[in-house]
Amino acid sequence: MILRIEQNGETHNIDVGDVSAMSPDEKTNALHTAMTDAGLEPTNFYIILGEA
Amino acid sequence: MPLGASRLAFLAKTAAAAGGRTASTIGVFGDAQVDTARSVFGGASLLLDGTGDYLTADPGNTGDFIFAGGDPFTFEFWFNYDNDTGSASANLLSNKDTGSNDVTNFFILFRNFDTKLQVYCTSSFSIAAATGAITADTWNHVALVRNSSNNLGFFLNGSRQQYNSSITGAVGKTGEEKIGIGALTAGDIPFNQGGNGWIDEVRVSSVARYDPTLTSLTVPTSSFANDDDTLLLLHMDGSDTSTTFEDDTA
Repeated sequence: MILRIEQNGETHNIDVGDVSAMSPDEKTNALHTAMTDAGLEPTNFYIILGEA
Repeated sequence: MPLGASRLAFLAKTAAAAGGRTASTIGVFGDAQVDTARSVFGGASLLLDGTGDYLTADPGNTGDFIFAGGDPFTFEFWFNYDNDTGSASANLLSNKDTGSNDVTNFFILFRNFDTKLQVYCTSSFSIAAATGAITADTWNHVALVRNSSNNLGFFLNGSRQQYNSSITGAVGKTGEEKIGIGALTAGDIPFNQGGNGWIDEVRVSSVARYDPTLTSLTVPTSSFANDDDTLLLLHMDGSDTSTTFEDDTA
């Protein structure tokens, strides 16, 4: 799954992989790992705009 | 000239204003409507279908929704969603319009992606996954509370989820004083994308209704009554499908 993430006024497509069988906490971790890998900072404010 | 209903309503509002308060003007967008199928109190709530439905509260008194550092406040409401069909974030309550964040913004977002709440209150209090997962088809009480010592607590169903002892920044600013209920004030990120969502009993207060330094609060068990510290009070009551919402603070 690719999510559109808005951070600092810019939109980024973030590939979080297949999260269909993940628990909510696993989804959160997958998203934050993917954001970090993409150079984003998950501890700063962001909005999940939806799927790309 | 006979006194029609609108004239009587005007006189009532004027009288209320003379007593010190004017109610917020409630903007109703999309298909936002009263729904008697689900409620916490009063037999009805606000129903939003996630496609352009939301309310705005435009303060009747300048500065109602502006809180300088050291000013206490409480933002609280109940929400309920029927299913998790999308991945987007959705605004439950915020003073943001659109564009880049301002340091005076606050947000309480529901994240369909992981069914958690996200909270932001000035740039110093920003937590992406601020709660555990929230179950569908349940009512959830949410409260964001700051006291006069700048202690800020974020509570879900009576349990404190996040805390900071020094949130000194202002919340709200002149010229951008609306509050969006169910979407940002300009309509972005509506609740509940992909399904229905309900919001009930929204209250904004100029006091800390709960102690943010404690790890829990007692969730209210009856609808709120207006008092001198209430800045916005939306019971979301009325007849089914009604699109009339009124602030009960005047």
